[in-house]
Amino acid sequence: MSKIAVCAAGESLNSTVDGRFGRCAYLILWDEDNKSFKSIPNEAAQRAHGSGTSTAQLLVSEGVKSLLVGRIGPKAFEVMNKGGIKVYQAEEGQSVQMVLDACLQGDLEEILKPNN
Amino acid sequence: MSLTISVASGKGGTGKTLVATALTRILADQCPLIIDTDVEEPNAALFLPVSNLQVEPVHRLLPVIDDDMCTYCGICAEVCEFGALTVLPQQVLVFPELCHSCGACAGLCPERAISEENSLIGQVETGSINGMGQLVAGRLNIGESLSPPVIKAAKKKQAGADLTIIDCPPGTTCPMIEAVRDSDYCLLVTEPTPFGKHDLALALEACKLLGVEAGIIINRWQGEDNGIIDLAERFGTPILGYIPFSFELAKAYAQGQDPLKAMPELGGVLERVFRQIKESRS
Repeated sequence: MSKIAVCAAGESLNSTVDGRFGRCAYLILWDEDNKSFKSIPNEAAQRAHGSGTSTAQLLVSEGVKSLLVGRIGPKAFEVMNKGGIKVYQAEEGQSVQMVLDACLQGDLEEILKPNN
Repeated sequence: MSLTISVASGKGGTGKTLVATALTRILADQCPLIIDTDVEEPNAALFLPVSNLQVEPVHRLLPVIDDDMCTYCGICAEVCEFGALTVLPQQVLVFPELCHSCGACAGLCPERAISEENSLIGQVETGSINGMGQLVAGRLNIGESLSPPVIKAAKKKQAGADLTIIDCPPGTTCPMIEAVRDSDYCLLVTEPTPFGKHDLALALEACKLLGVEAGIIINRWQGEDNGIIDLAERFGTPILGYIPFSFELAKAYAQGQDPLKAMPELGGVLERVFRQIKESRS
């Protein structure tokens, strides 16, 4: 649970959740150990092909352990699954802070199969 | 001098296969080669008396990782333009549906841990059309998403043909570009509807980018051009012919019958189209 990624429409904790995975605008990475975050503009969103797997690669490389997202496709989900990253349902339009709080309190539902 | 005419459209269902197969029929004395590059649904052979069909497999290259040599450095995933590889701490995932067989991962792997292996994706069918020349058709296997390798394989069969007619896939994306590329002339079949016009503009733009001279046939003509003539003028592209709307033709075509019998004037229209293409080349 130490590193949590949220797909976001903007770069701050007040930004809203972007429902998309591969084409979300920003990835906000919350580090629970240091209680700090960093936001990464999702360059893979501009790709013509493979934005899902490329975004998934970024999360693997960043050592993320949990992902909060609205929708995720089969290929990205496979990467999450094999990479040991748990995926949780975040509601599009809620703030990043809200879904992070909900996640840390154990209130988010785990996504067990691709939903997009 | 050899001549290759590709028959394309932009919008699907405007009459590419009708025009390509009817052209093959009227040019039978020149022994044309017709290549069906609409590999997701090749159907030209349904409209011509084809016999002696020979089938050859088409493969494409996919990366295979040697786990003993891989250090999971991640370079293959970084260089892949298509996100087809994902590197986990102890595993490399390959997504064949995303791979474009470019070879970058294998070529740039510092450990030489990636080899490329053939994967079957479709076939090329070759046959003779009784008394009318030859037919080549590419066929992509069901479930495969990448058609250009099958289109390329079908077009390779062209070697030596004096007159080639290429029945192209619809749209203006990679498959259409692959089919039209290297043609001497692109015959664009459209219909006088807003949708037909919209996609014709895209197809004209594609021909311009490819540097392939284009001409237009308006199919299902009922006297209203719906802006097609203006569009053609804007691109400086000639309208070579009009195929009248005909219920009889549609009915005969749906039954796979000879369209020149269902609409006798079609032969004259296409002969004039072909003459104009020849003149533009001389």
